[in-house]
Amino acid sequence: MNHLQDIDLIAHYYGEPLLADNAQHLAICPICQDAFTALRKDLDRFDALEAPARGDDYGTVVWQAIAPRLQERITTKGWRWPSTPLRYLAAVAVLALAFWIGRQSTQSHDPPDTALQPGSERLALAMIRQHLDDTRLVFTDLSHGASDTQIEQDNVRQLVSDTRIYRAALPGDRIQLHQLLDDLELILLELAHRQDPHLDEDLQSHVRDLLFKIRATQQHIQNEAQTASTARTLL
Amino acid sequence: MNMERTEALLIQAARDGHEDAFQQIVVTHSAAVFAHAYRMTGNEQDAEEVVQDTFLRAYRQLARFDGRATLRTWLYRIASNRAIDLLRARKRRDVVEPLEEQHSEPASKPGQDAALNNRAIRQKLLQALDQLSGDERTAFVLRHFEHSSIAHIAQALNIRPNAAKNTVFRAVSKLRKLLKPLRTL
Repeated sequence: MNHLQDIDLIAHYYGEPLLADNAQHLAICPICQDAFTALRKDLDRFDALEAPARGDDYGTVVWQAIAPRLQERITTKGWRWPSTPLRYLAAVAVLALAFWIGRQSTQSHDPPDTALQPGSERLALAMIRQHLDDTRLVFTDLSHGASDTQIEQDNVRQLVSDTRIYRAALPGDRIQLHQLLDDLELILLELAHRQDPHLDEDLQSHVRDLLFKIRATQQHIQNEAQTASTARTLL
Repeated sequence: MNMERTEALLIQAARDGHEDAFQQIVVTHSAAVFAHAYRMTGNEQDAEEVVQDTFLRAYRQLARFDGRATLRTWLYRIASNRAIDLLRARKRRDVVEPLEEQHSEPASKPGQDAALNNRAIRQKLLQALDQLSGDERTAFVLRHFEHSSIAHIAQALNIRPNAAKNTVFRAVSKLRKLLKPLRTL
């Protein structure tokens, strides 16, 4: 009889019963027995990769972390900037003012230090970070082929609107963030107007690229906030 | 009342907007999703992020859950997708983030050798896992650590059982090839 194939030995290692012929062969064939022993030794090594233990209250901790964000998503995906033209302009003005006040108060410090990042600018950046988070979730769903339901389409359209507001309010020297928001708007617009729920390879590739950029930008904003926080503590 | 029935009722209640039902789901499955996310990413911080994203997404997509797979398998599927994104981003950044932060170790003393050796082995195992494709890693993690059946892996990957079996086979074959140097240890 032929020796057992690796795919059978692997199935056997994971507890699947062998066919009767295979089981009989394994019982008497030293070559297959050695092969199985070597396989077991290799795979047993992975038992060392135990996940770190979580406390008994871990589920509650996770719940507390996500519950506020969950509530946002229940009600029309959370709080959103209004979309009528007048309110749009008002939203841009509020955000722009937040950045402007931030810059003014930073300049009044001696020595001036952008790392100080006053509260109003910090708040505006936190809102942009949340917006990037929402966009990232939608992109991740789409990149994994999640069906493009009406809810998703509405959500994408809302993201387009929000992206425009944040970009309009952003100071001109935030070049990278401007570029990212430009790229986001282009892709979101395309997604918002698509009839076909499945992304072609080209669009998938764009979405994956943007996912990477979003993550990097979120990290950058977070680092900026941490640096500012440290600077304030030192003063 | 059996567990499946309880779970179905919880899901229905959560769909109807009862947050306490979804809270129960989160509390019940968080630790298992974390363990899966950790083995997928090899990084505790990333795993925490995956856990939170998984439940947020699960909540949004509850209407899409058709009950063909178990709730846990469905959660693993969402977590795997999120973890694969993180792994892709990590590869793009070309940053190697070890499972545990590597601290500069003082000269080893007797008794520490075994610990250092174990750490080195864990590192090799993780590096080998990083070489797998997303599907291969998901299939291997589910098979080896969660003791999932081929049918469950097929559901989690949304592929046929035969394809799932082959994916596990490919993963194990790659890992064994990558881990050959360890056989002398």
